[in-house]
Amino acid sequence: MVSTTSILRSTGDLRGGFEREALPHLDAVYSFALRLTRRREDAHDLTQETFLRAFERFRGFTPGTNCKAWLFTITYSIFVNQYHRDRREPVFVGVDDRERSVPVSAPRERLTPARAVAEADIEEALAQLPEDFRSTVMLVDAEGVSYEEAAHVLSCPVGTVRSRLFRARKMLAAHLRDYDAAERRDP
Amino acid sequence: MIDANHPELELQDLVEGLLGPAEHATIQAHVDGCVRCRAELDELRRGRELARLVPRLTAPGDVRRDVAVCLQRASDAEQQNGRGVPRRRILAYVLGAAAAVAIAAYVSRREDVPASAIRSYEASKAGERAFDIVTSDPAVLERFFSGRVSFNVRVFDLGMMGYRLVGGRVDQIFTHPIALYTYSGPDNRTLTCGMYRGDLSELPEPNERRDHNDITFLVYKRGAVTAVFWREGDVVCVAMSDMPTDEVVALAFAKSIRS
Repeated sequence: MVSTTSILRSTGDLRGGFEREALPHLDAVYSFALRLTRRREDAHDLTQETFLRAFERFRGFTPGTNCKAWLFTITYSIFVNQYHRDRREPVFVGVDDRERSVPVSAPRERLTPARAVAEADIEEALAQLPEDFRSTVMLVDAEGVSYEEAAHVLSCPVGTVRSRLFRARKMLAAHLRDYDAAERRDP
Repeated sequence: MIDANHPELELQDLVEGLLGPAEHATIQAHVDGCVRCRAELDELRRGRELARLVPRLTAPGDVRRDVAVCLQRASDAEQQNGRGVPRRRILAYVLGAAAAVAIAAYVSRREDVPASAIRSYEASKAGERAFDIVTSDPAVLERFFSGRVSFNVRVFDLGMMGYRLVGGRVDQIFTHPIALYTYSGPDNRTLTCGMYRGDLSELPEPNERRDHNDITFLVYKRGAVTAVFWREGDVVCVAMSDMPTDEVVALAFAKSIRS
């Protein structure tokens, strides 16, 4: 039986395959990049570099595996090697970004005011997390990748992913406790 | 492993539903009798719930454009060299003069949207791309798209024209997610319609430009296929078929809505 990989290699349909498999994850990669770098310009570059490297390596991608997690692995690797070491002062995702951004699962125009406020607070609480915790939360909770895939992306043991998630969720809950209290007082 | 006094990671596994029956019973029994662990469990559940509300951002237009340009360049290099992308050349493209890149980006992207759309049409007609959903009911397809793209998709009923809805899928034309749906018509002809969030300014110069009811229609002919693009608000609609060009244009006129 001829595998999809060999078809890709033999027909040279690299570009078409890449467009079908990888490009649908552009928003996810940009979201991850922006939460990692917290700087729009860096997220722009990191996203671009991710897709370039992914295209270079696409012949080695195994069809049927999680392409989004594969892209995150590339994103995180570039981030750690190029951005992490000489990171400048972080710039938090600002109100303008939130207003321009559109959650894929819930279009902005359908958000209730309370939900919109919650998202803004969550964004700030997320930005307060240490980078290791933030990246873990982004992968597992926001992007829905498994513990095992997150461990592969972050080059750490699964136990570390569990541990980081545990701490990160507790920190998020603590950051947002005031917001919860305010919402209960004034729903 | 349970801490000498209180479990920690096991509480998280309890929240995630990852514990086996025996361990679940052990941890739950501990939680039931431990005020501290009940509070910890509540906090973990709240943290998990909040973390899942983190919104997905949409990549801005300039990011989409630059990714598209780089891929176009890398793809060109791939074709020229057989295989393997020359890394330094790609980086040179990326780091090239801003003005040249901007112009190339604009031109390159304009050239690719109709070509990419027509490739999707041809893949549908050849049966090379499966539908996400097979249905002849436009309402069913509209409900299907409503949870998968961030804009409202109108699926036309073309029964009067002898065109029967076959199915639809969420595809990608260049960097745009597109809701695509296909009809089967007389003489083995195929019609595929699509909607994506975008703008007509991204498109290259058409073969024809027509105006009807204050709407501009851009007509592209590639071999036997005609693709007609028009804009409704922030959504671009496209109709593609191997039926005669005037019929595709007339259909686009009939189904367009002025925004």
